[in-house]
Amino acid sequence: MKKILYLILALCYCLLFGEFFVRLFSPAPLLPRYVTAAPYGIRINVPHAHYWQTTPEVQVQLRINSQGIRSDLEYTYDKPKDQCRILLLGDSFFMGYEVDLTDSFAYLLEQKLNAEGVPCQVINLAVSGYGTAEMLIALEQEGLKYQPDLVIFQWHITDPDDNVRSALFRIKDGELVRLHSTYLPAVKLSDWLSQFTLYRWLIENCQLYAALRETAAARIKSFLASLRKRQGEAAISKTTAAESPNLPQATEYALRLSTRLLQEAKRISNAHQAQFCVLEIPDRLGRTKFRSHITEFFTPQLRQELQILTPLPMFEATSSPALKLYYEKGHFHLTPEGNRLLTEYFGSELKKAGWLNH
Amino acid sequence: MLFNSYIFAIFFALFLPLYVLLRHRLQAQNLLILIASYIFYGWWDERFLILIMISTVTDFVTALGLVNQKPSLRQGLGLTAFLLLGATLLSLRTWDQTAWTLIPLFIFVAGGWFLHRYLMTLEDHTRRKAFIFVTIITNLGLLGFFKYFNFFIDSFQQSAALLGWQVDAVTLNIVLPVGISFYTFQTMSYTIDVYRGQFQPTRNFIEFSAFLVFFPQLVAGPIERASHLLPQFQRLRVLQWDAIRTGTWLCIWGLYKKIVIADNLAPLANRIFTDPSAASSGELIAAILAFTFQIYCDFSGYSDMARGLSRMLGFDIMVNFNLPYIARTPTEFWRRWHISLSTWLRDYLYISLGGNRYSALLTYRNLMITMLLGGLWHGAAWNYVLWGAYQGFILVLYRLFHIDTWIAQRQSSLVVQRLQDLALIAIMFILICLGWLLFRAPSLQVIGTFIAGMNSLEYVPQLTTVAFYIWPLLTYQALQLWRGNLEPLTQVPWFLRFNVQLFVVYSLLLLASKGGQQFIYFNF
Repeated sequence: MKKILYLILALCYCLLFGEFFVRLFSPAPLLPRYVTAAPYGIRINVPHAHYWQTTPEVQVQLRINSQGIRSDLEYTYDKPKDQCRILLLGDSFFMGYEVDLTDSFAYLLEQKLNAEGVPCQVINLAVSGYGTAEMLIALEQEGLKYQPDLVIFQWHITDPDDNVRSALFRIKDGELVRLHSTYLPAVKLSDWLSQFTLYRWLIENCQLYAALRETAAARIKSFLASLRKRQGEAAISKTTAAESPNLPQATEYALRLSTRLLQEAKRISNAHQAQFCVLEIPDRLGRTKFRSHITEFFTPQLRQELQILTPLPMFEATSSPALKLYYEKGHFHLTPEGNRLLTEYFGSELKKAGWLNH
Repeated sequence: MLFNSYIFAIFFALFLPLYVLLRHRLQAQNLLILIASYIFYGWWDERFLILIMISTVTDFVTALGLVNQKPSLRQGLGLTAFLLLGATLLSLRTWDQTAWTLIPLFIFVAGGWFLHRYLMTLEDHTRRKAFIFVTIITNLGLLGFFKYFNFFIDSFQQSAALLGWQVDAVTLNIVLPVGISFYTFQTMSYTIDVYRGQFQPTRNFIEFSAFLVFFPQLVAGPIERASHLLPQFQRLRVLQWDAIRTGTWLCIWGLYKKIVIADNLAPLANRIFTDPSAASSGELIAAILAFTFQIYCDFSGYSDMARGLSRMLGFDIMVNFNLPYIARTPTEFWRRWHISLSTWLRDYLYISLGGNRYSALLTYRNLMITMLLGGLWHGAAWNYVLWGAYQGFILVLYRLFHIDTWIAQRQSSLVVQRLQDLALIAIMFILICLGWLLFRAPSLQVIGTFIAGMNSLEYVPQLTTVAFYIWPLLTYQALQLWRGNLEPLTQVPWFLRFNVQLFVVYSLLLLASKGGQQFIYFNF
């Protein structure tokens, strides 16, 4: 009995030491993610979830409505009269991680359009961790029910890998085909754990837990990515590899898959009388250095066809050593300033394109 | 197979139970070490195993020849089969490209057999000279070809071009076999020791080849001496809990030095050394400091892991680093840094050249030659030669001013002596850092940019990064110094030991570099 007591005490000491260590030497952002399984086999935000995100730079509350949307409002499927609707599909950037709701891209865009006399609802179906494959399924299964006039897919450098890893789709004989019916990584486990108050307290307050989970997840993610890439390599046709000789084969396959997913999303959107575009979140290299991958990844014809937009020139022109467009001690999401700039850029592109003119 | 890789963890997890299982059977255990070591080395490139095998056979046979013995007929056939196995491994992947190597191998075996028969007929003194000549030519020949061939050809071409001659020389696409400098020096020391009558050669080929390729220290040392390591292959190793415990800690500590300190400092040093022209004075200083600790932690981390793994298996291998950055003089630095190489160079080169037995001028010459060749041992590039020359120069300089003698004979009070020591350590540390600049810089132009650019002392954030990663190392070294023990945790209260170990384990889990780097000394 005494030995067991000592063991428990030692374990508690080790954990306390670890928490102290992380807070002192390697502060970990606390960015809990409450997701659960949607009936259509992918993740959605847990309805009615209210939780805090804390990083060394910011503390924000995330409030999810009954439809799994980060919003304080509820939306009907039927579009209100004399209003247009924009549907956002993306990951944590579009969902507005690390910023208040009022500083998120969805909220700012809606405010901007309404202020400019274009009454519009922006419905944000973004879920942290989504890749293009999940966005496409969410669009088909849920998004189109909202009768959008414009569908915006977020694009980020992580998407090609995410699309291969999720294995929801693959390219077979040049065609996009559904591979697995579900992609719910660790969702069952997190659903079960989330029942416990202690677990919820841990993920919102314990930096040691956050740091260890992140380290483990990064290692598993890179391991899975390497496995899936190898599988993907087999599916690449020699012709495609010859078209883009500068890219590694696995990246080439991932990009080809991503392109097909975007093309499919555009086809479905257009078939439902909605315009379609892709908005890139540039990669952050430094406070004043950013990188866009779209010119590297997509041909000019594809960029034209899919309406791929990047705010890179505006980010570069506006950035300065004193201005943070991305957070630097969390998960490098856009700051309120970054979201504002993105909104400004997209608003001007929207006007130029005239997608909502009708 | 890197020590800090998952594949090595799997390899060792498979190896250890087998090793324990064979703990009462010496020959079988040695054979297991031999096979495991070949798998460990062959993981990089199995084709290079033939080079180790050639060195092994050559030194086994010549060492016996030095004491007028020869392998039995059965052993001779076994050695031939052994070499054929190496040739098969060489040809496995690309038979059509490498099958031709069987011809020189056949010439090597047949020629070796005839040469051996002839040398054994010679009188004692001549035979001994001839055998040592054969072993040096073979080992240095392989090392010279694989490591220095292109370097000397290129240098010759460039020198000729400076004189206005155009020389069309052949350069080959030669891949440097991992660790060739380490195992070549280890095998040569065995034969030279036998030649000098300091060591009796073994007739057991398995124990000799296992000694030569013992995987914990095969690719980056320490360069062991036969008199120390070979006897450990000749007796049953006792696996003790205490050795396993302390060996595991040495491995963890070595891993910490490598993946937390060295690998996290590497990107900082690499970035500034790649383009120093854009860096400020403070950044240049930070880059040199980062590399100073990167190279130390990278190499000594490997040595710690090698010692730890060996200890777990019941072996004791030599200490390779003993707090080198608290050296007061260059002589002391070389007694603390890469001890196995510096003692090798001292015993087999410096002393053979005459050491300090003759005039001061000859001693300086011997020091310069030894350090120049020591520099060249690190790699086939002029910056290593320059670094060697620099080390030789500061050794001569300190000797010229009799600083080591003054330290040994000074009569001042203890406090004054400690203050003097601090000043000497600080000066020596700056000299060491300058040495690493020569070692790391890819060109003379970069060295020039650094020297011209380091014109003021200023704070830059990179200095905080360096300090963040090295303070635990410095604290641990202060403990080592205070306890007078390189493994001080055995002498401190359990609670302190427990906290240090927790700190290191958490650092490995949370602060380890994301992008793993190969060990620097694998290239040497």
